[in-house]
Amino acid sequence: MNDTPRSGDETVRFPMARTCPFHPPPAYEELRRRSPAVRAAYVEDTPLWLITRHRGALQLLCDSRLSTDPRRVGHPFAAMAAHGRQRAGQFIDMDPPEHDYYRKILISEFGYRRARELRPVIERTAHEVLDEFAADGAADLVGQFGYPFSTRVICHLLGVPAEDSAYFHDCTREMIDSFYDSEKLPLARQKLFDYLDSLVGRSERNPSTDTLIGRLAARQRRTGRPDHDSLVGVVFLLLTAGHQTVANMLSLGTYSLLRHPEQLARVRADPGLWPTAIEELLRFHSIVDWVGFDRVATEEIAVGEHTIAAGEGVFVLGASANRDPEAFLDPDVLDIHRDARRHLAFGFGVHQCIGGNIARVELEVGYRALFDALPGLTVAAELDDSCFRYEARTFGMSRFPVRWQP
Amino acid sequence: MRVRVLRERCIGAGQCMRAAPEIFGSDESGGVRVESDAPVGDSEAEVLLAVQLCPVQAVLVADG
Ligand code: HEM
Ligand code: SF4
Repeated sequence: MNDTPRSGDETVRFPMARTCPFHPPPAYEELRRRSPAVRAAYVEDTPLWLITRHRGALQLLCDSRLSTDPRRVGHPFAAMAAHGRQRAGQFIDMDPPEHDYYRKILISEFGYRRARELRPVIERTAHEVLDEFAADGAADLVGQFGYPFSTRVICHLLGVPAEDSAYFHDCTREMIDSFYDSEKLPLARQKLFDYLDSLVGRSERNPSTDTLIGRLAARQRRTGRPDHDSLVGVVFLLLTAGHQTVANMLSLGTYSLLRHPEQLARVRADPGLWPTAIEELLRFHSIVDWVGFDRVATEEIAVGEHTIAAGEGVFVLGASANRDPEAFLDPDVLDIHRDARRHLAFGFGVHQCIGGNIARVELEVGYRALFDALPGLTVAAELDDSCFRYEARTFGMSRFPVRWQP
Repeated sequence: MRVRVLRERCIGAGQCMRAAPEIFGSDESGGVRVESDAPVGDSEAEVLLAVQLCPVQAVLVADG
């Protein structure tokens, strides 16, 4: 009768907060040891399943019996599901085959080849941002590097015209600043949405194949799809999924490297090590955890000795899978030499991050430019808890004061 | 070893191209293309890794 999840007598309550910038919530270790699938009580005591281990996470993220559509009964985010116009183009919340259409039309924009072509622009952008640093040898890497760099790359990627870039920056800035403010956030979102709505409208009247938005508008003329609302939705999704994540990885990764000077020295001496180091930083920090892996079972699914029933919610704990000793030796140690490529920082299955190719280029270019441009880079002061976003859905930093020898 | 890809399934994640750059390349649209379907030596191990890393199981290998 009583469906409150229990393990022994202890109810597992979710979500759990991180308590250290370098590790997932401490309770994950025990949950992972206990079972590949743990029953937990989510907000308002909704029972759901937590997937704790690497192997199970890989399997379930490829399992077509799990849906990501929040409109389905039992989805953990069902209460916040967007409907109608608000939902258009949000393919992160769609299942195949609806989902596949969007990935197909975006392959040429986000594939491996495109990411390589974008590298020179991304490098130029990093240097532009660093050139604006004051000569006094002090800066906040979150506000002065991570966000401006990742936002400018996205502007370029989408094709926000130069004359609009100041307004676009204001809109995204407002959204970032109010990200943790439930009153201001909807207004800031609406403002950005309205801007993108008008930008897309202009492209539709006059499609130019020079930009991503223009190419999608040209496709709409040819084929009737994606319609206006869906195109706005796609652009909005790309923007919101793409700049905060990169900004957070830039600051957290830099912080980790500064705390491991011997590893930093190795990778700076041999830049060919950067791609391996970046996979490890992605694994280690796992900034997108359960929030990115919200699912609901559409049929019964067996996991180990447990059975997930149809209509039950699931969170895959990506940050726990990335610390699973079955998959990674000494998982709590940062080791830029290890082969971390099987990590789940970008997910797995049909929803694996569409921006992964470009994010890897942004991270490599960003870290390298930063360490090259700022000799003797160090953390300026002991970082207290207020520097980190413990309450945030995507883990990150709010401030990162540094110094260097100008 | 023979390598094949299910291009219809590919989502352009690029994992195979990073894992085995000599075997997998991009077609004009950014999707996957097999550059050399009979890997030897180190490339065989790289291809096996690509099979594991492909998020949508679009990389297939067979004996021969
Ligand atoms: C280091 C940076 C990034 C991290 C850690 C990250 C992480 C993730 C994860 C874990 C998912 C999978 C969610 C799921 O399974 O439902 C995802 C999906 C997605 N990401 Fe990223 N991401 C990053 C950068 C980017 C960038 C740069 C872009 C765009 C320019 C982007 C756009 C997206 C989109 C559109 C999806 C949805 C894909 C789909 O549902 O098919 N991300 N990301
Ligand atoms: S790893 Fe799979 S999805 Fe990614 S490019 Fe290769 S075949 Fe396509």
